[in-house]
Amino acid sequence: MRKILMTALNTVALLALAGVAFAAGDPAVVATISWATALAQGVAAAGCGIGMGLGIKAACEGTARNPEASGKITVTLILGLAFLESLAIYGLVINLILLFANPYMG
Amino acid sequence: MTTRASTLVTSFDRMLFRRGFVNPDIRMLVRNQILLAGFSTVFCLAILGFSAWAWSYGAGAVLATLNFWFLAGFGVRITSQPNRTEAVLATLTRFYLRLGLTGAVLYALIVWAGARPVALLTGVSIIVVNFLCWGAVKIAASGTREAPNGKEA
Repeated sequence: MRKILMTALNTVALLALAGVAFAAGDPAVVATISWATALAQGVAAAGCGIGMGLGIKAACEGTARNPEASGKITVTLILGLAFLESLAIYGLVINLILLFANPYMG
Repeated sequence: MTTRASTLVTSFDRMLFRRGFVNPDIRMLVRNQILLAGFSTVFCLAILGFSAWAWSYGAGAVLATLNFWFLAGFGVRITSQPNRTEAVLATLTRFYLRLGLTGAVLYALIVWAGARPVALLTGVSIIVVNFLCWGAVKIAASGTREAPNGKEA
């Protein structure tokens, strides 16, 4: 069962990649990629923004309730924010690759 | 060699303290990030020469370090903010501004300067490596307990 599934998935992947490769320069493909990257970046930025807002809100509440723990809360908060920001930057780079350095677009 | 390294670390610590990084953990994270980015870039340039891969990696590392520098400096100030709404708004505004600037720089690097995207991603990932190492060291340090003294034993 696993073998059949792997074969089928590999075939689908190969066909999909071949389709993109043959369609290099096709305006419809370029338009689809542009829409996809815009949507992906919007979702990534919105998700990271919501996460950061929740983190900051919780950190402010924690510091207000227990000011002595503010040092530990700040460190954890900054780590979380930096991880979230890294995710957004990863998304940005992937989108830029898809738009300007796409290996399947010739 | 060890003395030189400790002198370098101490001078970095002093410089960061003067710039407002008073929390020792955050200061250590920022210092490690700067040193890691600097040394890894110099290592790449020494091994690969001034190739596209090496300078793209360096550009990614510098970008991640600058982002973390501004984020850490802001994060230290924001937790003492009593108004939650203002704090969240300030964080989001700065996040989107930084993301926009980073996007513009990445666009210029990839499209105009011809940087290698994979090398850029590797350079940006150095910040995650720094955090993971810091976390591993913290966990290892918390697992080490001192031997009980006479009263505890």
